[in-house]
Amino acid sequence: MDDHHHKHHHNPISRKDFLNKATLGLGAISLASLINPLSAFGASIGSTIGPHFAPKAKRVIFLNMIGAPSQLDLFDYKPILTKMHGVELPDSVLGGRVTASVAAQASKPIVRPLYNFSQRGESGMWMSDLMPHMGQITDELCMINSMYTESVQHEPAQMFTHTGSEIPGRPTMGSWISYGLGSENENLPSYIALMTKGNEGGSSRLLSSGFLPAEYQGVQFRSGKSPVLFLNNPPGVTGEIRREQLDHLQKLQDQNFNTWGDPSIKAKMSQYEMAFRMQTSVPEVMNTEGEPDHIYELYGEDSKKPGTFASNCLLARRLADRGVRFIQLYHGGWDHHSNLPKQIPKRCKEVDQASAALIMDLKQRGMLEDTLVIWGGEFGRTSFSQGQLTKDDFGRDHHPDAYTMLMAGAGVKKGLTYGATDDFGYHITENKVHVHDLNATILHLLGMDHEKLNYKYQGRRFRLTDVHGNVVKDILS
Amino acid sequence: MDWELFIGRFHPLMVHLPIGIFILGYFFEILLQLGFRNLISRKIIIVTYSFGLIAGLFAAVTGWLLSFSDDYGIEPLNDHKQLGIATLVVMLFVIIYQIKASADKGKFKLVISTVAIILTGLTGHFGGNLTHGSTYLLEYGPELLNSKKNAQLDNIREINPDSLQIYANIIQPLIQNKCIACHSTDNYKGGLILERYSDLFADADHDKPVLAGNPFSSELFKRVSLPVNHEKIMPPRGAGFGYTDIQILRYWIENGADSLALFNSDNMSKELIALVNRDYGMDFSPKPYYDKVKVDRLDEELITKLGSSGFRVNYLGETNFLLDVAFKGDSISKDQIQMLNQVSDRITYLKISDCYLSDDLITEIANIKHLTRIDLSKNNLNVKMVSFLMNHKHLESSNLNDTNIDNESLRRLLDKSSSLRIYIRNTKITSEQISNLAHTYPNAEIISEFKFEKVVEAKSVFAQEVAQ
Repeated sequence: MDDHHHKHHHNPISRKDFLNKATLGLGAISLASLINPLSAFGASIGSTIGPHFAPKAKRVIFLNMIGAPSQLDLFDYKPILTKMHGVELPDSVLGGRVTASVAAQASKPIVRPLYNFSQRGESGMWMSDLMPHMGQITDELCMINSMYTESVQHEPAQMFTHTGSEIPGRPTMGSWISYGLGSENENLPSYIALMTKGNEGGSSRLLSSGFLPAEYQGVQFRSGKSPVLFLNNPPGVTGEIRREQLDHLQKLQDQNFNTWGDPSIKAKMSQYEMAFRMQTSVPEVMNTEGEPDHIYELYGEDSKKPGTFASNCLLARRLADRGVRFIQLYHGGWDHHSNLPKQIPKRCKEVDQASAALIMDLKQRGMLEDTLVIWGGEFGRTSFSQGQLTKDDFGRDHHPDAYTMLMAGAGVKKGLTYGATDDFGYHITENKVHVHDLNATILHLLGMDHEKLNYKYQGRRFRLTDVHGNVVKDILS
Repeated sequence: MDWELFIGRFHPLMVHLPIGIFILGYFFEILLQLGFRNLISRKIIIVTYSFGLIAGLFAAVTGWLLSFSDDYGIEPLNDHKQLGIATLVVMLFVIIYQIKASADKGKFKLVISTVAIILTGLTGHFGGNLTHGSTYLLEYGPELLNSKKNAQLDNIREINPDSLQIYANIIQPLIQNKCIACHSTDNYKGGLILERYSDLFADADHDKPVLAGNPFSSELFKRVSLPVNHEKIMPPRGAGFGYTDIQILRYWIENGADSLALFNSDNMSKELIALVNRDYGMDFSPKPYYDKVKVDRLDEELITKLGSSGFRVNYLGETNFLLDVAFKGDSISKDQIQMLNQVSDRITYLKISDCYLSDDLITEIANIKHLTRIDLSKNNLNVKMVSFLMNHKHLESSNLNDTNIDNESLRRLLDKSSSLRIYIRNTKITSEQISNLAHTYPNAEIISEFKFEKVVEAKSVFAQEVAQ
């Protein structure tokens, strides 16, 4: 799977490449066209790989809760926390791995979830009263209560969820997926991110295509007049002038490419062309005025205010409808080290209805047949209070050893609660799912073998799942 | 009233008396032998053993009466009976010897008593096996003592689902684990033996264990599926049949209870497929249609032509050349449909949405042999569309949102393909009609406009405490 960007390299050519070509000779060229069945398709834009096998999902919407929502207050119901509220968490529960901030804490009083839980839907899935709308759609959800990750700090853990590595520099999941599958819409980027205005949470680092060509990088769409920065023509420049300008630039860049053979020249040109097409496609997709009232009602009052999570959910549906491959929504403010009782209801109010509405809107349109929705943060939170536990205030610390992610849609079992943690929600007792496993499963649902989707960089083939990851077959429908 | 059995049933109660008394006498004898002459005399020992013997005689009589019930296997019963009689005879000899033999024969007396005690213990053990089953004693002991337990069921995950025999691999091991202790040739409570396959259809005190084709008349099924607290539930002790096991048993009996029967996903309920998958790791979910058929790679020229006719075309996978086709234009023409017809035998997913596809035009589309998923939303379609859909027997999902389909047409379609997943948002079908349809076609999944129920704002525990 030698990437096509290297095909036209004249110079420089590595010793290894030279030997390869010399031995295989012309045979290699015809072989390349044989093993790449989709190369004949002009339709799969921007990718030469295509699905390895029949996919269940064609696109992904990742509702990324930045800061790590407390699984113990929302999803993973542990009645013993209520019974033992205020009691010191036994050392026997803690086990071997204790973070510095936990070790520094002299007292670790257990904290109960502040809101009642109930079993919802035919599946009997447990859900907190804080999520009354998600509670109504539990029969569409797959709840994984046995997620675990590596890092205990936000940035590395977010990076890990996105790229399979704690250290920045690798391509993010959305980039891998657009690299693997290309776009279904030549007028929009295949990987788009939306962040809640004033509560962004995510950062542009998380959208990086790393060593993959820049065209696979995530493009952030903003609310307001100019959704994509610097996309509009400056005053006085018409679309025709812009077109003419680009045509001339294309000629110059072609010469440039013939001299230098630098693939980034091609990437840059295709980005310019994409930007040109986006000048008309973006305003169209971002203008939700045509949406009927009952749709606004479905997504909630917030959906009329641009930049809110609810409004972004509505946009996510519109982007998915237009064939965007990977849509990532960021919503921050979940890092409740203290003041959790006051903060978590606010966050839930912001996301509960809109998240559920997005899933059901996709469903009623028939789009959940081939769209995968993922909901969750970078890790979980502790079952004991961080800082003092007072009558109406407490917090929970970071906890990477057990947390919850939700999935819904194409190829995922409905109404399934998967995996289990101990009575204190502290350690996983059943069906552990590592971030690498989740990422492998997402790629699998998109028809890609996570071991085959790789890219050679600095002499090594890299994957989203590094050298790990097992597809979680139990959750596949 | 059955006097014999009424008195006989006191046997398990009575037997503890002679056993206890014999052991007590034996302890006295040991003490005497150790030199506690000021505490124990030979006479006390003789009296104790004699009481034991009398109690033993009562136990023997009740035991003899109990042996007339049909609940026990002949051989183990005979072993127990003969050993019991032998114990009493030896004990009688012990008593006589204690009286007659001279005082200096103390050691020899103890040896003979030891033999009697061992016999007592053995008799008791065999008796216990009759009542509780031979696996009772060690059931919860170390695995070393107890290697047979669950062995076969644990290995089930290694068996290829296609060759999993329901009886040999699941039912038989279940019976072995849960029933055989009391229902074997050694011990046939209720006149029931469940050792061999043929035993399942043999007469017993109650109805025959299995009546092929009719689980609810099969005694075995009835008894294991009773409520947990019911006095007649089987097994009476220990973990009973799990829900999955009961459903497997039901499925097996319903489908003829054949000794070589295999699971067949065509007649398994969705629930059973899910249960077997969850508890035994067997995936019987039907293979996706696209994995069942094989088509050849398309002529590249044709692909290019399709592309320029306004279709987006994709293979499903690297080696799966079924096509996923979507029309990209605003308005579809006859010529474009002709173009589409050239590849109709390869298509499995088709989207012709929002492009003025009319009832007249849809008749132009050729039969699409492998069609499983179609999206015809936002087109002015009704009767002819339904006729078109009815011709496609592999169809799984139809998106008919924003079409003109009405209740009558949809019923016509669902009569033909009753397990369709169908989207009918913004059509002429009212919500009342939808709930009727859902009732008439329970296997169909009818998806329409979604609305949330009204929610009340959740109250935190603190708020609730304050309110109280």
